[in-house]
Formats: sequence, structure tokens, C-alpha cells
Amino acid sequence: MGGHESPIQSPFQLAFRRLVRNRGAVAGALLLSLMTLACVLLPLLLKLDPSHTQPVLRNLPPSSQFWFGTDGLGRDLFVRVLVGGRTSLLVGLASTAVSVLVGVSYGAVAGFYGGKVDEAMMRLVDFMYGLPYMFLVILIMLMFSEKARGDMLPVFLALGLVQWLTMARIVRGQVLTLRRQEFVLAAELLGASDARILVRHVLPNVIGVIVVYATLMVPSVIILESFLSFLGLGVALSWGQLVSDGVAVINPVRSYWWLLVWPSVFLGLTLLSLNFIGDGLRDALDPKART
Amino acid sequence: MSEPSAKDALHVRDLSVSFVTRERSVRAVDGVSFDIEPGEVVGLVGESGCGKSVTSLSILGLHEKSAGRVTGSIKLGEQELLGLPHSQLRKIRGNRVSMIFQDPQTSLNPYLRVEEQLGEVLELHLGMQGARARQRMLEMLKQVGIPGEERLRAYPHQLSGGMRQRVCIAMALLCSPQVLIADEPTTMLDVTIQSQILDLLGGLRKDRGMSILFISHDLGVVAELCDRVIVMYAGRIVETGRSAELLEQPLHPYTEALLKSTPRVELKGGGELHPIGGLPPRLTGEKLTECAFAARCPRVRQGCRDGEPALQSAAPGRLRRCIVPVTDMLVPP
Amino acid sequence: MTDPKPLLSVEDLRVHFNVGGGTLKAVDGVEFQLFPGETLALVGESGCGKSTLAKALVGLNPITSGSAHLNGQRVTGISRQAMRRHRSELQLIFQDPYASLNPRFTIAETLGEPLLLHGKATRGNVDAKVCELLGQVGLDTQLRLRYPHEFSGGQRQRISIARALAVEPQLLICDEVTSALDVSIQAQILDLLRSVQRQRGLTYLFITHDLGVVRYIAHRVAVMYVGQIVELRDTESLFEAPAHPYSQALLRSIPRVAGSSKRSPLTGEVPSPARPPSGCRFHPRCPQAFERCPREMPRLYPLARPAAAGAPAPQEPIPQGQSRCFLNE
Repeated sequence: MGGHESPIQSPFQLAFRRLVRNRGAVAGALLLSLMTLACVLLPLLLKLDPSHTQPVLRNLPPSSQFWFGTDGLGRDLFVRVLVGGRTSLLVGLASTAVSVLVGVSYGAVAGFYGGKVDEAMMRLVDFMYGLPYMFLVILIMLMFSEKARGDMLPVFLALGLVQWLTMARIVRGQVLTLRRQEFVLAAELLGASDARILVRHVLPNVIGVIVVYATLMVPSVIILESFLSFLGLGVALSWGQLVSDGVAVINPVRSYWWLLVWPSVFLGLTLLSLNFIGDGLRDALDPKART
Repeated sequence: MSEPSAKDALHVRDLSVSFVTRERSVRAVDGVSFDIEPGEVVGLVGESGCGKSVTSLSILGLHEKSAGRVTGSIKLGEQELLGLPHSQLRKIRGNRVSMIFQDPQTSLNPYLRVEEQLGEVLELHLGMQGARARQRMLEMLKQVGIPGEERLRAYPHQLSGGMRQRVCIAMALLCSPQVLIADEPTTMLDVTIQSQILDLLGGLRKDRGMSILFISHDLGVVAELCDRVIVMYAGRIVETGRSAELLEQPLHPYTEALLKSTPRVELKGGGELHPIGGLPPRLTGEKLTECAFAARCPRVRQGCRDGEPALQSAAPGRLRRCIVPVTDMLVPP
Repeated sequence: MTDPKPLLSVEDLRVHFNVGGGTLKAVDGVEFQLFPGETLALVGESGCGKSTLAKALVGLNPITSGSAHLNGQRVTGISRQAMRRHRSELQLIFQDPYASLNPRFTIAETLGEPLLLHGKATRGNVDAKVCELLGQVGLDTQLRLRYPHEFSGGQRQRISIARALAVEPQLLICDEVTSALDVSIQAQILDLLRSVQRQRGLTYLFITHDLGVVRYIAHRVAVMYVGQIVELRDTESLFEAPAHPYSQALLRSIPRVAGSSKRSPLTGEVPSPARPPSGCRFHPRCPQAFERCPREMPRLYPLARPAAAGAPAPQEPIPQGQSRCFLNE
């Protein structure tokens, strides 16, 4: 140790290097970036309209004109998958952002102060955990008017507000352990204020875990949104909605397989990528894996 | 499985252990050779990174398999241990060669009672079960200073550190091994308990004619228990000799510096402390082009950097790896 | 230099923890005084309470009863705000070099933080001050831009020492600071601590289990056993002629490099502070115990003054030795 001819590398930089050596994570990241770009940019640049109905061209299988085929109203499935993807990804990200914000703050405070404060705060979390999850989400959704229900805001509020519980628990656990680490005690000994200790000493060492769990939370949120779509409570146009529509028209006579397959494939690939990235992040940030 | 008849000696020849990872390769142990005669207690001494633990682990093939490469020869009597297939090695471990470790906390399975752990050894190697096994366990526990039946049913967390270490020793000795490898067994124990364990090991060695390879960084412990001492630095042996002689008059500058940087409880004011400047060398995969200690040696001179000195005899029973004349070593640097 | 006023004074300090079905009396009635410029070693085996005591003095453990005063001001049982005012007088260095530095901070940030917090430097000159500190602990100033994971255990301890010195404390508590280090590195750190003490006139409370280190670095020693001080003596007197049977047994048990020691090891286990023996806590293992010992707890009795001092002490006269044994009554 002490080879000081090598360049200075912060722990984050070292983690990043480990991450890019992980082929699964890199592949996942590439795939995810491609899909995100496609879903966001293509409709914009090519001025594609997902609601453009052409009833005369309904239920056509994939062809050179309609790459993914058309649905029951003659809408281009390819366009709908792209735009739906935009929605799903956005919902996933936004909900996760909400749950990270709320969960981290809550968990950090509980873990930092410990004792009675922690007990009280975690009782609340335990209580809310005990409530049936879907029930809560549906309740929240129903609070919005009929018209608002197709929008994104209610959905990602509902999802985010329930997901924060897990994040709070995780962060609280990490903070609780870190709080007793000697370098944190040393900061306290130096006379640093609680806020400073929490923000400058504890949280930077928890960020790794937060990032990993957030990355793994996005897929589960996307799936939840899909489930909501199944129940008719999801956003108007998302992958989940498309899958739900695709399932609805399955019948023994005509299988409109493209209506189900394409959104499912995109959904599946996104989830897979996110999982690979999340796993890669976890391995990269694991302090036991020293360079 | 052969019956241990006469006691065998342990012969280590040219043992080298390298760890190869994607980033770098490290020669943790480089060309180490030594013998342990039956009934001898040999101390393996050095600081962290000197290779003493890796050496001891390789004897039983317990080194890290994924990255480790071991070459050389390790013979117990006539039998070569290096490269032995796992099925054969298993028969030797705990049976003819046993090992005890530093941390009594993690050396015992926290989910098994003492009798279950001891019983496992007896069943595996001696095919002993039931009443006979129980009898043997009780005898062994008595010999290590834990008399009485109650301890048999205890879980490790119910025992103190000293007692756990005694249980580990009992476990190691159940099959009357010829060689006991002890890797810093008393480092984590309190001084008064350490004293008891050292006494125990000394007594057991005498009774059983067993040889012990005792790894430690504590020169005092080594002085008390060991007949001979091997000093390691940067993966190689730098000096060997009978412990009383070696510690009284070291013939290698590292041994000398180590002694001079150890606070001496028996001397007024703790003696004079002369720290060794600098840090131990960073081990790489290449052979050394100079003496490993040259950068920190208070006696460094012309010739030290020209190539690594060979391990040579400096006096009867004394080997060392240094070009400084013996007569020079007798006076301060 | 005669300065009879103690820098630190500890009065009947007790730290009890509620565990399971009983009380763990980690520190049970410890009393001593620490004078400016000296090094007092706290020595003992596991469960003796030395680390608990150290942490209690800096507010990392709650006190059950008793008190400690620094420069005449109370430093125990006070609010966290009040505690912060004493942070620049009293610092503690931890044992584990691998856990005591924030892995996300560069060395410059680690050392800059206390300097800025306590107004020892401004944003303008903090870098210069960091370099100064690094120089004082024998580290290359270029290393300040690096992260802890690149340093060895010994180097990290130097950084921890530098961090503690940054606030310019009067009293430094060293909690087993060399126990995790190799012998040759330990020697470097002990040397450093001694020279820093001379330069800055620091006072040390040095906690360790290694009696060789004690003899080298301490002016006075407090031997602890199951939460209490059993002997408090100047170093040389303790090592030449220990008064308490436990100290005697402890010294007898240490393996020596030179000279044979007629060791007769102490029997029995070190008692747990959750279930201390009745009366004198050492009586079950004491070779000289008699009927009074299990019934009554001995107090600390004064011992005769040493005829001649060992290592020169910072203050004369040397405080009187004490021993908690009826044989010394």
C-alpha cells in the first residue's frame, strides 16, 4: 500500500472503474440508453402521433409499413410502443425520485437519532407496511377525479408514496450502522454539528446503497404501473396499458400476437437492463471488492 | 489411511506462493525452506505481509485457491502434501496435521455444541461414535483444562475466549496429530489467559512428542515457547536459529531492528526504542534485484543492492540472508 | 515544574449498562487525577472498563454517576452543546486505523474540517495549515490530496493524530492506538507521540493492554480490573515492586524476550463486569486471599513513597501510589 505514483482516485472513481468492467451492466446501460433515446427522441423528431386512428387499417400484423402492426383502432403499434415507453420510463423515474426523496430523509433522521425517535418513526413505517399495498394505491388513485386519472401525476404520486417505505427502512439501517463507525464518532468529537455530520459524513457513505436500490426500484415501479393499467387505473398510454390491451383481445380464433409481444419485449428488456445495472452497481460499490 | 506410527518430520522445500489477479501478481512467499523435527516447536515470526500466515495455510492447502499458485514441496515424512488431491488432503487435515487459528470467536461454529464439533472430528477420522467418542472427548477436554461434562453441551457463545481456544486445541489434538500448526493462537487473548494457553501448549507438546509450528509476531511469546525461530520478511526467510541464541544475538539486521523496536517490559523505562523507518516493501510478481530490507536497513552498505543475498550458514545451526560480516553484527551499527 | 493543580480530575465515575436481566458495571467507581504534561497509562484486560472510561470522558458513553472535571470545569453529564465547547481541549484517538477516517474525504478535507470548525484556519490559509500538520506527524504534504484507502495502518494513525492535534487540545486520550499495528510501526507511532508531547506540552491518557508499551511511554500507571482501579503508581515503582496481587500476577504472566520468567499463570477466567465477584473482585483468583476478601470491598490505600524516581516526571513531588488491597491497608 502507499504506491503514490498512481493517479489519485476517489472511492467513487474506483467504483466507476469497477462498474465499467462489468459486461452485464455495460450492456444493460447501453440497451437502456438506446431505448430511452428512441422512446423520447423518435416520436419528437419524426412527429409521430400515437393516437392517429385509421380504422380501416385495424388489426394488421407486422409489415414493412407498420413495423409492429396495428391495434384495434388502426393505430400504429410501433409509435404507441415508443410513446408508451416514454411514459413508463418517466413514471418509473419520477416515482423512484419521490420515494428516494421522502425515504432517504425519513430514514436518515430515524437512523441518526436512534433511540425513541427511531422507534416512533419506524412504528409508523411498520404500520404503513402492514396495510395492503395495492389497496392504498387504488385508494389514492380513486381520490382523483375521473378525468385526472389518466394522467401521470396521480400515478407516480401514488406509487412513490408507497415505495418510500422500503427506502426509508434501508437508509435507516445503513445510517444506524454508520452512526457508530469511528470516523463518524471522530467528527462528533471534533465538534461538528449534527446536520454537518449527517450530510457530510454519513450520507455520502450511504449514497452507494441508495443508488443501487433506486436502480432496482425503477423496474418494480414500472411493473406496478403495469398492474394498475390492468386494473384500468394506470396512465392512458404506457407499456402496461398496451400489454393489458393486448391481453384483452386474445381469443382462440385470431391471435393478435403482435399487440402483446412487442410491448412485453420492450418492457422485459428494460427491466432486465435495469436489473443488470443495479447488480453491477452493487458489486462496484461493495467495499470488499478492493482493486 | 495409514496409522501414525513413528513421528514424522515436516520438510518444506522451496515453497513459493503467488497470488495472481487481473491487476497484479504478488509473490507472497518466495522460496521458503525449513524442517520441523518431531517434538520440536518452531516459531515463525514476522510482521504483517511477511508471508508467515500464507506459508502455514499452504501446508494444509488452505490458501486461497482462486488466485493462489503454490510451487515447491511440502513433505510429511515421505508423503508429499503439495498437489495432493482434495480427497487425500482431507484425511490429513485434523488427523496428522492440525491447525488452530487466531480468532477463537470465528474458529468454532456458533450453531453447534462443543460435543457436536468434537464428535465430527472423531467420526470423520477415527470412525468413533457414541460412548467411546464421548469418553475420548471428555479426556481431551480435561487435558486442555476444561474438566467436567457441562461444557460438552455448551455452545461457543457461552464460553469465554480462553475456553474457546482450549476447545479448538482439543479439537486439533483429538487424533493425535504429528504436527500442530498454530497461527497466532494467543494474540487475541488476555495476557493472563495467554499465559495459561502457552503453558498448556508447552505441556501437551512434551506429553505427546508432537511438533508445533507456532506463528506469531510477538517475540516474547516465541522466546518462551519455541526451540527454534524462523524470521520472515517480504515473503522470504531472513534468519533462523535456536531461539535463545537468535534473540540474544541476532545475525540479521531486520531481526536486530525488530528487537530494538519492541518495548521491553523487563527493562527499565521499557528499554530504548529504535523504530524502523519506512514501510515494508510492496510485493510484486518479479524476483528481487536487491536485498528486500536494503531500503530500511541501518546497516546497509555497498553490495546490498547488487542482488538478493542467498540464505547461508553463519554459525552452527544459524542461517541468514545477509552480506554483513558476522563480526560486524556483534557491535551496534 | 511544580503544578499541583490537575488538568483532569475524575471523581467516583460509574458507567453502568442495562443488559438483559441485569446491570453491566463497566466502570464502577473510578477516581484519579491527571497532571499537565504527564502520560498516565490505563492498563487492564478485557472487561476492565478502560475503553468505556475513555469514551465516557469524551461524551461517547453516558455516565451513570460521578463526574469528571477538565480545568475545573465539568465535562460529564452536560448537554451536547456544552460538550462542544470542550472539544478543542480534549480529543480522543481510536484504535482501528481502518475505521477512523471517512473514506470519502481526502486527507486535506479530513484535516481541514477541524481547523475550520474551530477557527484555527481560514479558507485562505487552511491548505498551508494542513501541510504544517502533516509535516508534524512525519507525512509527505503531497499526500493530502489522496484518499484513506491508499494508506497503510501506520500512516492512517498518523493522520488521526494530526486530526486530533488540529484543534490544539490540552489532553489527548489514546485508545489502544498502536494495538492494531505491527511492532516496528508501533515504535514509530510511540516515538511520534512522545515528540509531539514534548513540543506541545500535551497530556496523555494512554489506554493499552501492552505492558511493554506502558513501561516505555507512561509516567504513571493505573491498573484496572473489572471496572475499578486496583493500583495507581508511578511506572518504575509498579514494574519493580507491584503492590497489588493482580498487578503482580499480570507482570508475572508476560512472556519476556530475554531472561526466563518463572511464570506461574493465574488460574481462572477474567470475570464479567455483569457478574463481578463479591467483596474484592480479585479474590477468586488471588493467591493471597483471606477471609475478609470476599466479604468487603477494599478501598484504595496509599502506599509509601518511592525512594528514588524512575523516569523523570513532569511534576514533583510524584503523586502518591495507591493500591486496592487489604494487604496494603
